[in-house]
Amino acid sequence: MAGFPTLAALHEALAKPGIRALASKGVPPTGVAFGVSSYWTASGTPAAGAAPGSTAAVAPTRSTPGALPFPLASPGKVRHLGRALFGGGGSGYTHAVFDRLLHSDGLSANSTGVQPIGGASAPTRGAFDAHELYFELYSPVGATPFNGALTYVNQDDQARTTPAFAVPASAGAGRMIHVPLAPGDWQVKSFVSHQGDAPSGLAGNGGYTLVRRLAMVGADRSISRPVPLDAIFLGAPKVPDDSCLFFALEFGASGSTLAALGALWFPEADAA
Amino acid sequence: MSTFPDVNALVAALPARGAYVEKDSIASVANVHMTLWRAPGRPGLGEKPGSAAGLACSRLTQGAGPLFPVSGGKRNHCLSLTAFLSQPGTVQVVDRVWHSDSLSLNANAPQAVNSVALPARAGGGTGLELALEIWTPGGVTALSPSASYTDPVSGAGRTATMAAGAVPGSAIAGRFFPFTLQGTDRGVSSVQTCTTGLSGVAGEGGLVLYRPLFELVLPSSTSTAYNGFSETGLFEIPDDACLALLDLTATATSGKVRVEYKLVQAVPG
Repeated sequence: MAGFPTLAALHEALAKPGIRALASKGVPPTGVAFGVSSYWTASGTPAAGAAPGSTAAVAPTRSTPGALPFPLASPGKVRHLGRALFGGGGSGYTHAVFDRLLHSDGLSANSTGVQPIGGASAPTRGAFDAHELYFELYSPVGATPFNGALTYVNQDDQARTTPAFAVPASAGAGRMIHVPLAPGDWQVKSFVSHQGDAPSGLAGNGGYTLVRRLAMVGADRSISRPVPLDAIFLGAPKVPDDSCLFFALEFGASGSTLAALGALWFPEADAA
Repeated sequence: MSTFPDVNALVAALPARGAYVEKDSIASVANVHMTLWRAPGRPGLGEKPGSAAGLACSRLTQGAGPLFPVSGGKRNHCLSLTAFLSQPGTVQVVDRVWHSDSLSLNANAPQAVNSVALPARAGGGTGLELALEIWTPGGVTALSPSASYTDPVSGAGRTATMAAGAVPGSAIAGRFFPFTLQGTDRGVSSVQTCTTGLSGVAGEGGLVLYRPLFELVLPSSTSTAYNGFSETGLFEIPDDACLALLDLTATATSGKVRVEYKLVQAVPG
């Protein structure tokens, strides 16, 4: 039987050694009130990641620099997220623990032409969850705001185009600008092309990042310390060995950047 | 027998499936109901139905929160809800079952609604609540709207009401005014007419039938609320539910709202 058949089995899996991973990241490069910033390129543990270096989409894995190292599963087993204790000081924000499924960069913010992307398809480890899509910046765009849109292939193998999303003037490196999917869509299989509606004045460097959300962890104003989340609360999402785990900072009314630190536990269960 | 007779059954139903909703702050009024249906965010702006007879809503309606299809006789149950709100307030998660618009806020005569058939998950209307939603502000005169409806038990010819002047002058778009059903009525199976009264400007209103699912109370600004299975009670979410958010905040804006929810799927016991 896949998963944890009983509470006792879950407890037994949580009690095993070698199931933990520690994270401690410096501040992301940019913070904007109510926005989202990526820790992908921030220093710390795991070490800083980098821009994908490919306009064509690439499917990152646990081996991609920037991904959180976590223990491999035993043969015939799969890891799950079984506990999250995560925070960063301060208050009034949330942290997201993401599995990075697909990413690209090299898109110019100073072009209104169709910019082909193509490349790899999203791995099947994301087939169970709703996907989230972001336009991630690795260097700032120019002073003219613009709208972008991505043409993509959805969960039913249909070509779709996202509603337009706004890229603010001079949006900085590290920003993750949410890209809505077309109504009714909940997953992306692959990227096709990008188009902006105005030149920003600077090419910058941006690309699309597709993720599945494993957990949202907040910091309470009154205690300013992390709240431990258990396996049942988290839903024990599967974390296959090739998962590319990283973090994002989701701001509240303040755009002050914060570090991220915590511990994640990965109990294993039968894969099938 | 319960779907989850013990915690072992719940653990065996894992892993859960996760989804996320985020709404930007919009203009609001302190301590009153607001709908976030037309607030920007993810999902984006909700569908505008385009008629007084309205449209039935489902998980595929534009603006509905993500919900996963089920198979094999399974049903979705809410395992946990994590919510962030950038200011003190209460967020209510609802299943938006039917909605309409095209009602004048400047008419004394009853306006025909004759709601379209409700979806099967409405269960005949028992437990549904009825509200007036402001799409475009009317004039400066306060209103006391009423609606004629059919109750699943009492039948047709029932009247839903609000207190005198419940809808203040120039109520802003997104204000959401629940009706009081007649007598001991406990639901609405259809709506026949709506009488708004004279505000001075037509504006545009609509009616909504909805089923409250859960409330998230965040009494401290910039706080996060965690609700595990013992708090959610593993409430069931119909597989075609149109998930939407209402909120009541203590300030003149709705605040940034983030809600992550985890769903387990299981066959009814």
